[in-house]
Amino acid sequence: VEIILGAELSTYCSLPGGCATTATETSSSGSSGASSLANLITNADQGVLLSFQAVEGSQSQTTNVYCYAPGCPNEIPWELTSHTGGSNPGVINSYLATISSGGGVSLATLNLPGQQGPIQPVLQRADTSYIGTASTSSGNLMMAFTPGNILWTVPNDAPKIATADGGIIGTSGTTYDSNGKASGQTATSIQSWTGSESGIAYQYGSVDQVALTPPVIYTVPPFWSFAGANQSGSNTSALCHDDRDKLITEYPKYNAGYLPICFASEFVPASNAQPTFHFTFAELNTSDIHFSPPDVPDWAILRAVLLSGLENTRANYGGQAITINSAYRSPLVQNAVSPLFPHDRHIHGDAADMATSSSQMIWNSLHNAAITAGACVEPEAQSTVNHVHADWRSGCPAGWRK
Amino acid sequence: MERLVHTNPGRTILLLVAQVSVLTLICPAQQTQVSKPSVVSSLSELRSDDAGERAEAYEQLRSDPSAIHSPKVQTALLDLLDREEHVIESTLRGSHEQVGVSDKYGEGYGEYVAELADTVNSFADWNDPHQACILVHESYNPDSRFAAEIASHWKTAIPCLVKMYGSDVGLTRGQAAPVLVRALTYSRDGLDPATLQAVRGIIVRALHDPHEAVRGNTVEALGSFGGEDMIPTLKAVAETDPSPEVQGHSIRKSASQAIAAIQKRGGGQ
Repeated sequence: VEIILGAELSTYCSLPGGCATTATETSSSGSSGASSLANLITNADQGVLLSFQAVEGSQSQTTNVYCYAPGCPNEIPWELTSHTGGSNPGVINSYLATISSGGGVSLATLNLPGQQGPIQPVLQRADTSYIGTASTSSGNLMMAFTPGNILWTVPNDAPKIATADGGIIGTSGTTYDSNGKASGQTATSIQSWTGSESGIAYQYGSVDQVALTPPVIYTVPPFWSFAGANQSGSNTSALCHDDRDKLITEYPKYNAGYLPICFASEFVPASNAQPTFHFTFAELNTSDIHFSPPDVPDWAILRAVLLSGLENTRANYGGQAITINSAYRSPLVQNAVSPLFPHDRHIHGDAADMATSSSQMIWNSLHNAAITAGACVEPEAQSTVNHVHADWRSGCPAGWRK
Repeated sequence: MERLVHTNPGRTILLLVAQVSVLTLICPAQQTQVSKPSVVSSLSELRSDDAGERAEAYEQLRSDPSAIHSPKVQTALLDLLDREEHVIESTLRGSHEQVGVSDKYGEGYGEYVAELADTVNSFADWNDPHQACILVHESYNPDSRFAAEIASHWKTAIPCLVKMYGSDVGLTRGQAAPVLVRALTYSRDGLDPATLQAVRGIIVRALHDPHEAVRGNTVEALGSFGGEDMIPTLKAVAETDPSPEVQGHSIRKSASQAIAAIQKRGGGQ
C-alpha cells in the first residue's frame, strides 16, 4: 500500500501590465501536508495506525512586476522592477490514520495542548487502544488513546510493556493499571533487556530472554506488547509465521512468565536432528513429541547452555550415555504435567531430567557430573532417586549449586 | 506586445511514502487477569491448602520490597518454609521415598521452595535455634553453597542436624549426615567433647545406614572434608558395602576414592 500524505499546489500566472512596457506576475500557493515523518504501528492483525502532523491552510502570495520592453531602466529584458508578498503559516493538526489491510483509511484528529510533534504510538493493548508518547510545551507524556480520544496521560514516563490485564510497565519501572494509575514499582528499571540478573528482573541464558518476578502476563501477538516490537526491542516482527507462533502464544496463556522471541537462536527445528553431538532433537523434545496429541513437535527451545551443559555432563560422567527423560516442554505440556506450577525451567529450554535407573550411585554420579558442568541440580529429597533434574539458568538457589 | 503567460503546472510533492506490510496472524491473544492481592490477602493465601496459591502469594510478597522487610511478613515466610519442609518430608514418607514433591506437584514446586529458602535466609537470624533449624531442614544438596552456610553456622546448626539424622526418612538423614561432616571442619576447636563424640558417632553410623543415599552422601562428604581418622571406617565401607556396582558406579568405589582424597589432602579434620 502506498500512502501519499499531503500535497502542495502552486500556480503561477502572469498578466500583462497596465502599460506597454511592464507585466505583472502574481504567484500564490496554498499547502496542506505532513509536517514531519509519520509514526507507524500495527493495529493487531487488521492493518496499521499511522500518526502524523499536518500543516493546513498555509498560504503565500507574491507579486512581481517585470519590465520587458526596450526602455527598461537597465535595458535588461524581463527585468524585475518590483516585488511584493505575504504569507499565512496555517495551523498544525495531529492525525491518526487507521489503515486497514485492504487499504481503507479512517482519519481522526487528536491534538494535545501545546503539542510538539506527532504522537508516537509504542504499544497496543488487547482492547485495541494504544499507548504512546507525546512531547508538549509542558513536558513529555505517556498516553493511552484511541483514534480521536485521549484515555489518560501520565507525565514523564514512557511505555515499555503492555500486560494482559490492560496495564502498562513504564521504562521507569513503574507499573500502571489499565486507567493509567500507578500500581507499583518493579524492583529494577527495565530500560534494558540485557541487564544483569538482579532484584526482580531475571535473565535466562542469552541476553534477549527475560522474565519478571512476579510473572508478567504479557499480551501476545497480534498486539504490539513490547516497545520495539519484541523483548529485544529490535523492531522486527514478533511473529515467525510458522508453528513457532503457536508455541509463543502458549507462554502467556499458561502464565509462563516470559515470552520467547521468534527469531532467537534457541528455537531449534526438527530438521536439526542433532543439535548437539550426543543428543538428538527427538530426545530433547521427547515430551512434546510424545504428548497426545503432539504439541508443536517440530520446534523446541533448546538453549545453548543446555546443549553445552549436557555435553559437559556427559563428559564428566565418563563419556557414558545419558538417557533424557524430558528436556524441553511446551507450556501446554508443562501445564498438563504440572498444572499447579506451570512455569518451571523446562519451558525455558535450559533443563533436562536424566534417567538414573533408580540407582543411588547413578543419581550421585550424574549429580556430580552435572554440578561440575555448572548446573543447578534439584535436591534428591525433592526429585527422589528416580531422576536427576539439572538446569542451566543464570542464577540458581543456594541449595542447588555447589 | 507579447503577452506573457507563464503557467507552472501544479507540483505535487510526495511528502511521505510508507510501505506497509500488513501482518497476517495466526491466533488471537488470550488473556489472563493478573490479580494484585494486598499484603494482607497474600499473607492469608500463604496458608492455603493449594501449593500453587501459596507459591503465588509468596511471589507477590517477594516482589514487594517494603513487604519483605515487614517482621510480620518475615515471620509468615519462615512459618511457610517450615510447613513446606514438612510437605516434602511427608510426601517422601507416605510413598516410601518413591514419590517426591516434584512428582506430586511438579518441579516448579521445588523451585518455589528453594527460592523461598533463599528469601528466608536473607533475613533469618542464624543465632535463633528455631530459625536455624527451619533453614537446616530445608531440602538442599549436601555439597551445595547452602550446605556450606549451614556448616558455617555450626553452633546452632549441629543440634538441628543431629535431630534431623533421627528422621525415619532416609533422604532426610542423607542430607544431615554429610552436612555434619562438613560442620566438623568449622567447629574443630569449639565443639564440646560430648557433642563431638555424638557427631562422630552419627557419621560412623551413617556409613552403615540402611539407606544408600545416607551411605553414599556421607562417603562423598568425607572424601571432600573428612580427616585421616575416618580412613579405617572408609576402608571397611570400601570392602563391605552391600550396594552393587551399577554402570561402573558403587559406594565401595566412592569410599576408595574418598580415602585417596583424604590421603592426598594429608588429613586435617
